Amino acid sequence: MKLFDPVAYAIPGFVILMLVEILYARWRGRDDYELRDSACSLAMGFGNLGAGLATAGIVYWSSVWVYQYRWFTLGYTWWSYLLLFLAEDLCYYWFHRLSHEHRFWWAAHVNHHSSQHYNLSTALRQTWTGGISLTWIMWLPLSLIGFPPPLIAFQKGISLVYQFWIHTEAIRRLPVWIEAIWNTPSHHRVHHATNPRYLDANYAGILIIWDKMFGSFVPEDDAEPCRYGLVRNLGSFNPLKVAFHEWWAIVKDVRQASSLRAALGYIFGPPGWSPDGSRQTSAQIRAAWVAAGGTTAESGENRSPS
Amino acid sequence: MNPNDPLSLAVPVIGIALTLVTIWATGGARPRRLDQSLAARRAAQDIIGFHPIDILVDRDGRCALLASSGDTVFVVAFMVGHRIATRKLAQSDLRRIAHDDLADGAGRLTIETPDFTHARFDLIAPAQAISNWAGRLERLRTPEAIAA
Repeated sequence: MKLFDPVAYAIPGFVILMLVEILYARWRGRDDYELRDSACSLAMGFGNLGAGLATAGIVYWSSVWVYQYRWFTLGYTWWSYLLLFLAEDLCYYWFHRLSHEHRFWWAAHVNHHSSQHYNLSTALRQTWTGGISLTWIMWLPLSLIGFPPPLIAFQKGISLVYQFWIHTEAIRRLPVWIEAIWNTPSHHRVHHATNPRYLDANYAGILIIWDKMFGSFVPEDDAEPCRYGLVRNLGSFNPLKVAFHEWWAIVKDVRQASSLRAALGYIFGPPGWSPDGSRQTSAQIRAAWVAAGGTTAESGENRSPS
Repeated sequence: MNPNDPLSLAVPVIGIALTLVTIWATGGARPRRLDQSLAARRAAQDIIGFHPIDILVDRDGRCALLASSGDTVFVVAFMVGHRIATRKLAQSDLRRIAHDDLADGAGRLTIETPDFTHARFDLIAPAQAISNWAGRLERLRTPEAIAA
């Protein structure tokens, strides 16, 4: 069965919503949009389309190859789509969580977090190196279970389109029942925040329930506004630097590593790991913040129990 | 996106152009300048436990140097567009420190680091302050040479 590409059809909608948000920000007197920042984000988004084309073949055919060995044949039924909706979102959650917890995948994902602004153009600041960093293997189990590869590709597109609109400060809170189940602008603002309280939280794609199930949910606290970006913010709007800075940092670290263990730690350890402890991981930043008098996080005050 | 379909390529290109023109036409974000309180607040947020007691702000408000008590920690804060970024300066971060005198009693301090996204920082301030800060950074960079 041939399905349409949701992302291609959504692009005009992305543009219209960005224009509305720009005008709304202007009307409210907010400085949400900065020309060079948005130009960088849009260039990253356009580059992502090209990078996606370059690797789409191998990603799709890997899915088809695995599908030969499927456990079930689930086909194109309403209930199989419902199952896929949940299963794909679960795959996304773990892909996203691993992308924050291991530097090799973080290097491909970091650019999405590199803007200090949080608006709809930030949603388009997408990776150029996701294909070569093999992040797509996280979806192969869906083919093995027996979901048709075209349907998986379609649902991945739906997830990407869904996640566009949650990159905004224009919407504060939605009704409680929506906030309880769905990933919303409020939940995703926390994910993009660098405040120690908010680090490494809310990895959800469409449904926030996974964060609540796996202990990574942190609600937005109006008393602590989100500060967006990275714990070590970039000093450039150059898309090439944004796309490759972390890869280059890995190369530099590995070249000066004193042992194989140190080299592997630099590549696959958590972002911020160093053999001598001279840098800080998210967990160490949060611990230092709590030690300095910050409340929450590991105490469970703001995190749901795992 | 289908590379064989010009329309599928044109839509994102037109969308990008339209978005950027609209941001430009509506003025976008307001330019900001660093001042002492802004630099201190941001550095304290980014570097937990850092309490600056001495701050030098570039006369154009693009960059600031901050030091803790006893010069144990140095931080540079700088504008990236209309937002602020910070770097804690360690010995290995200081590739080159140079300062020179300008007209009107001003001086320029140049700090070069291995940072991939922002390798060079320039501060213009009163020459005496520049000379003072250059010496303090030099002591961070080459403590052995100074001690000898």
